[in-house]
Amino acid sequence: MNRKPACILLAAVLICACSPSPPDRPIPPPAAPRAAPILTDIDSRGLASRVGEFRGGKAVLVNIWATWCAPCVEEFPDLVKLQRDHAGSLQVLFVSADFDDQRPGVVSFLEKQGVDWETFFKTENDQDFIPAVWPEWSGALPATLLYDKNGRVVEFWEGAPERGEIESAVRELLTETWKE
Amino acid sequence: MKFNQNVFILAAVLLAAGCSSDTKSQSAPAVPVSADPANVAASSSEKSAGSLGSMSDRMMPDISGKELSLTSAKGENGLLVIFSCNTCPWVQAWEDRYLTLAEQCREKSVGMIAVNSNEGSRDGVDSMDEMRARAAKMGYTFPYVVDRNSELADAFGATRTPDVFLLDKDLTLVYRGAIDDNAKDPASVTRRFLSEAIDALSAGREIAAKETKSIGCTIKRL
Repeated sequence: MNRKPACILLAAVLICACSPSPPDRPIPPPAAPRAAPILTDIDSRGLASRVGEFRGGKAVLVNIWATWCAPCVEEFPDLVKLQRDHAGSLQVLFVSADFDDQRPGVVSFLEKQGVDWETFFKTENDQDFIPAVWPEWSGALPATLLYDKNGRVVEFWEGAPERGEIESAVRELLTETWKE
Repeated sequence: MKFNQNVFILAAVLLAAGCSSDTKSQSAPAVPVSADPANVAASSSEKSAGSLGSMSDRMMPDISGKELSLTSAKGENGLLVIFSCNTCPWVQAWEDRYLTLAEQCREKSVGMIAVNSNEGSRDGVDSMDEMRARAAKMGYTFPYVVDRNSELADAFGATRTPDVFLLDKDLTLVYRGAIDDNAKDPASVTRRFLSEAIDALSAGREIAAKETKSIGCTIKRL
């Protein structure tokens, strides 16, 4: 009886199983350069369409923010982590509402935050964009909407909520989703 | 062999535990849909046009050293209340129009008052000293008062800076929302919502757009 291969297998399994990375988080090759942030112009119709693309598949978190908005900047890393932790079941769509001349600053901020997926830049005027995104949004930033996988808004926050509130809502929504 | 069997059972358990995801596998058909707002109840706290102004006799410290209320700041035809602050980029983008609006208000016998409700940054960028410095730098020609504990902002349901509320001579709200439709570029403005509302109010005409929206900085409440 040769126990050596079994021990090697056990060690390999333990290393795999005890990896600290969340199971549905893609693990990039260590040496791979991080993709540059993609900033796509968007209006309210385009945003609704993007949200709709995930219907039937993922919950969606839309966060409308700006580089000059202190509460937005403060909560931003938590939302990036949410995306990382739930990549298979949640899509975070960041929409910058910065002024047009702030685009370079937006890209720089996204790079520093490690955002390597497509994000958006609001190009529509406030009067059309705000009510189309959500009728109850008065215009204060940040504004965050949580959609279930059927494309329905289940939570809306104007201004930054208590830390952890968005994460709790996401976890609760995803837990409910599993039960379906 | 018994050892090997146990190892494989253990391995299977560990694999099952280690590879379980926080989601079930789901396919995502790319079907564009619009957001469906139907299942979230309306919850806006902003006052609507037609509401009575609140806390009209509450005294608020002005940068001049005096104490003012909405009633004392009111003009013959009404009062413009701008919730503002010292550092918000949206305030700074629109701020060049504050002076024009103040002049229009003076001509139309409408009072004007800027209110700083950022109690959360009162020890820093929104202190009385910083308010005085901002007003001096920008040449404010109107009162700029401290809203202690953001109580006036709460009463009006103001959410951001700038957030404007135009009241008639009875301090009933007749317009709320945006100054105009282009914060950054005054030359590209196509609708001067507030200015049009002031003109209509003073002329006794119906205000065409009573409520508008604009992006701004969240009021920093405690």
